[in-house]
This record gives sequence, structure tokens and C-alpha cells, in this order.
Amino acid sequence: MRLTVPHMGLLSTAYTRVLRQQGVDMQPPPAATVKTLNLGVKHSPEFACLPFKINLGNMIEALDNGANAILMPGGYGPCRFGYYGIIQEQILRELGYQFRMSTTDNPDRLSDMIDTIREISRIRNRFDGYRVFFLILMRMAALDRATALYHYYKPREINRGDTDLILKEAIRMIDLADSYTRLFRTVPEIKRMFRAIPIDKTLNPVTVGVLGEIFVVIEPFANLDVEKKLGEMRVEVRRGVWLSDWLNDRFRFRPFRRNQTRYAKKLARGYLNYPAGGESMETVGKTLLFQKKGVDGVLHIMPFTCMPELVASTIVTRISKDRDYPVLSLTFDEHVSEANIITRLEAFVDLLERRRDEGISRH
Amino acid sequence: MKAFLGIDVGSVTTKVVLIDDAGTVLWHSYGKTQGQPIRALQSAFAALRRDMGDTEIQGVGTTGSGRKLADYVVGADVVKNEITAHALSAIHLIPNVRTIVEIGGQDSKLILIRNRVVTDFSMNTVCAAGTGSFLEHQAVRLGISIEELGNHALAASSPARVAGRCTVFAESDMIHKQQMGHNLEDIVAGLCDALVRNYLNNLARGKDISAPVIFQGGVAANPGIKAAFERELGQEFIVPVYYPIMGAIGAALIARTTKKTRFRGWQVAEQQLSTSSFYCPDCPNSCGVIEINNRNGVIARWGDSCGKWGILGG
Repeated sequence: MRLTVPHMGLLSTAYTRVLRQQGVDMQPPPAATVKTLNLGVKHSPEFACLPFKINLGNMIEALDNGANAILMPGGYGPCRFGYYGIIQEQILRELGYQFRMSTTDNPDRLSDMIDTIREISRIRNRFDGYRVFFLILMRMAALDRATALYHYYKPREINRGDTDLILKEAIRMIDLADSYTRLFRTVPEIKRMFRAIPIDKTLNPVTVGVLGEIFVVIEPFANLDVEKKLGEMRVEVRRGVWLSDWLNDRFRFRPFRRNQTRYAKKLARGYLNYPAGGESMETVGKTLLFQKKGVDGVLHIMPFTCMPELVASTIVTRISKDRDYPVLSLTFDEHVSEANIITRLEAFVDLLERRRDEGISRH
Repeated sequence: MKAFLGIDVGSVTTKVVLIDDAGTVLWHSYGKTQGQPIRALQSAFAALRRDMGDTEIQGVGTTGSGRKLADYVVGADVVKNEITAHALSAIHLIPNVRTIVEIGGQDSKLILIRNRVVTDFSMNTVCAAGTGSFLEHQAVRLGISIEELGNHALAASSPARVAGRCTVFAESDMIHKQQMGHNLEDIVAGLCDALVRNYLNNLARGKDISAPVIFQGGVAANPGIKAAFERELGQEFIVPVYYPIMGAIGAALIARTTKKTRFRGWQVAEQQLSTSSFYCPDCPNSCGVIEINNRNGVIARWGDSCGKWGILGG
């Protein structure tokens, strides 16, 4: 059985090597390209969202490369996502592919995740299952940490492109850190690498909180590399949605860590009192949180036809008005025009810089 | 004499202005881009050199969808997006401006300003209904020139109701109205109304359009659209004298802070420049890479997402 899992940001880097060592024959899809997107768009319902289309493209490319089993998260979902695995399976069968499909029915239960890992690997012992799963989570947290360092150093770099190279190297190093010991050695090493980048220490960059639907936020291919674009405009990104947080919120992996998501949900009260699906609560709550923390503005991104984020977007517009807080909403799909996105990002950054000069935002 | 240059290479027209330190317009030109931005720029420069050749250029700003290309051709000190450029020129002209409605060849913008700072903006994303290109296309189809379109609209007695959600449907609805027997004036006025409704639905939903409102961009030349806006919103729309070149003026205003200009000099009008493009074959992204060449070879290249070709500027 050659197993493939559709990409979601850097998640596959976190698990592929570890699962391979446990005897799982992993076949990750090739990194998403325009070809992936075109394949996905061609075979998807038009009004399915961008994540659905990219996932389907991932599956087709992986199957063409020799995978014969697909694992897709599903079950009762945060949004339509819960049904995606089932629909994708049907589309792929109609295209004539032969494969085994597993959708995790209950993605919020840790014991079910462990069972899934035991099913696909040669791990028999439950304890070993937990050990492997936690290692994957730690690797994910390390990848997120490297990304956050990238957000800090990118706008400050003196030689354009330095930070991008270091991030690439950091991802490669985390990929190779296949045990707890190696991982704990690697993380400080990565911090040293970032600290060695020549930076402009006098620069006090404008900060932008990036929020929205998780797939579009963490997958550069889906958002036209918006975080890099902001970095190149000398903007420090403060990302509000992280894969390790998302996993952590579900599995209480680190119970003593202050849970920002729960705090954000508390802040959202009054604007949104119960979840409208997806990351809607986080989007609303963290917009308020970012303003509290003095972040200059919020970039809210979502895929076209995303219901939960559309609800959040209306509320965020209201918050922006009520509290005089700049928010830019961008919607992504296969028809998005890059020139239009760049123009609006640049204008938004100008707006934030002017506000700062005029002393409107607190700094 | 010392002066600053502002260049706005738009999808349909190319605008070049020369201003002095105080922001007064010394010279300006307005010509069709016609899909050849380099040629449009060079002919504007030839005219500028003829008229103002003794001027010392102290700073250059570019804006518009062709801002990057213009930068490579002339050597710019600032490359600014259209929204900021339009806002700055409007604020310069009318310091207490609160709303800017800008409609150009292929895009439209709404910019809100409070206390001389941009507080919010929106820009059309998917549909070009209501922009200059569509109006021009319809004028040609109706057999009238784009310049007189507005006056026809003003002469209407009872504007026809034209569907304005989408340009294709607007066109078929106009044909339908013609065949029903509505006269030209009423149809043109109906078209203006439809485009204004489309603009307000797409860009102005939930936004506070308060006076003074400045109406700029090429479409501001059309008194029919201006009248339709004023009817719909019950507010006066101010059309500044330099309405079609406000973006270029904004770019020039920003360039005033330049210390030492990167301007390549007057010979940009005669440079032998050509552009070419190819699809990079190295991965399935097939990025379209654009090259600008002069006689000595490639001087700039961009368009690749991985950065391997963009060695000469990103």
C-alpha cells in the first residue's frame, strides 16, 4: 500500500519521514503547481472552494505517481470540508482510479488518530502510537516556529532573499530531525541561523495580522505567497492561524500553554457568540486581539464560496468600523488576479504607514 | 528649471505630467497605450523633450498597472500603486476631500479619506462593468463618439432601465431596448444609470460616501455618469480640471522627496527597447517570464514565481 495525504501547508514535512520509519509507504503528492490546480479545477464542482480543488489535484498527481491509498481528514467537519473526502473519492472513482480511501471519521479524537496511525504502520503498541504522534506534533511546532522567525526577519533583511534561503534550510533540517533528541538540538540551531541574517536594526516595520480560513492562510500556493509579498513590502506578518495551534486545540497536546484561541473566542463574544463553522470565531476574536496588542491592521483571507469566513468577514467589517481598525479582506480562487491583489496590498500598507505617521495607531 | 515627473501607465491610456516643487502642473500628456506601453511612453517623452527639454528632472514617480515596466524604461525613484497615487493628488488639490470616486479604463476605485489620511478603499475585482473600456465599446456600437456619449445621456427625457449587473447582459439588454423602440438618448442615459448602480453595488456597499466627493479618472469626462451619480446619491461630484491625469500627478507628488534621481535622462525617448516573453519550461507552473531588451541584451526580466529568472530585478 502506497499512501498519500493531500498537502496542507508544511504538514507533510512533519509526518512523512517519521511515518516512513514506522514502515508506512508514504507517497506525498508533488508540491502544488499550476498543473495541480488545473487538474483540481477541471474535475471539481465549480463552487467547491479552493482547498477542495487543490486537494483533489494533489490526489490525482499522487495517484499518477504510484500511490494507491488516500488518507483524507473528514467526519463531521468544521464546514463543508467534512464531506470533501467522500466527494473526492467519488470523483476519482469516476475518473477510473483504483485505490483505497480512508477518511478519518472523528478527527477531533486523539485515540482515533492513534488508531489510524496503528492501522497504517507496523506500530502495534498504543504507547508507541502516541510517541510517534507527539513527535509529529513537535516537528509541526518546530516548522511553525521557523515560519514565525521568517515573519520577523523577512521585512528586516538587508540582502533580499536571505531569509527565504534560511527558511528553506530550516525546513530541510526539521525534516531530517527524526527523533526527539535530534529535534531538540535542531531548533536552537535554526534560531542561530536566523539571528545571523544581516538585518536593519533601526527598522520598525508596520505589522499586519493575517487571519482567515486555515488552508488559505498556511498554504503559500493558495494565497499567492501573500506573507512573502508583505515581507518584501517591509511588513512584519503576525499570523493568527497555525497548524500546530489547530492540532493543539483539538488534542490538548500542551495543556499548560496559554490557549490564545480560547481567549480570542472570549473576546469575540458580543460580535459572534457561537461558532459559525471553520475559523469564524478565531477570525473575529483574533481581529479584536490583534487590535488590543497594537498590531497595525488585519489582513483577512479566505477562499471564494467559503461560508464561515464570509460570515466572519461581515462581522470583521463591522469591527473595523466600530473600532476604527484597518482590515483588508481578500478572496482567493483560481480566477484571482495577482496584479489586483498586489495593488490592494500595497495600498493597504501605505494606509497603515500613513496612520502610524499621523499617530492614529498606538505605537 | 527643476521639476518632477509623474508617469501613469494605465491599461488604456498613458499619462505623463511634469510638476514643480509646489505641485503645479507645468506640462502634461494623455495618450492611448494601445497595448504598447513602451512606445506610448516614448512618444510622450519625445513630446516632453520638445516642449520642456531644458528642464532638470529631479525625481520620477510611476504608477498604474504598467508602473513596473515604466520604472525599467525611464528609471523611477518611486513606484506606487494607483490607489495611493490617486489619493495623494486629490488631497493635494482639495485638502478636505472625504471621498474619491475614480473610474479608469479597466478598473474602478472608491477611496475614503478622513483628515487627509486614506481610511478605507475598495477596487473592482472580477467585473469591468462601468469602466471606460466598456463605455467606449458601447459608444462604438451605438455609432457615437465616446466624447459625446455623456451629452446624449443628458438629453434624455426618460432613461431606459438597462440591466447593469454584467457587461455582457447590459449589452444584450441595450440591444433589446433598441429593438423595443427606445431612442438613443434614453438608452445612453439608462446605460449610465446602470453603470452607476453597478459601481455602487460592487464598491460602495456599506461605505460612507460623504462630501466633498471628487470624481476622477477618464470616465469623469462623461457628464452623463456624473449626473447619474449625483441623482443616485444626492451629492455633488466635483470633477477636477486634471481629472484624467490625477494618478500621474500623485506619482509626481510622491517623487518630490527624492534626493538623487535614478532618471535615465532624455535619451529614454530614443532607446531601442523591445519586450519578449517565454514560458519557463522547468516546472509545471509554466510562469510567463517577460524580458526587456535593449541593443546590448536583456536589461530586465520578471514574472517568474521562484525567482530564478528575475536576477535583474524582482
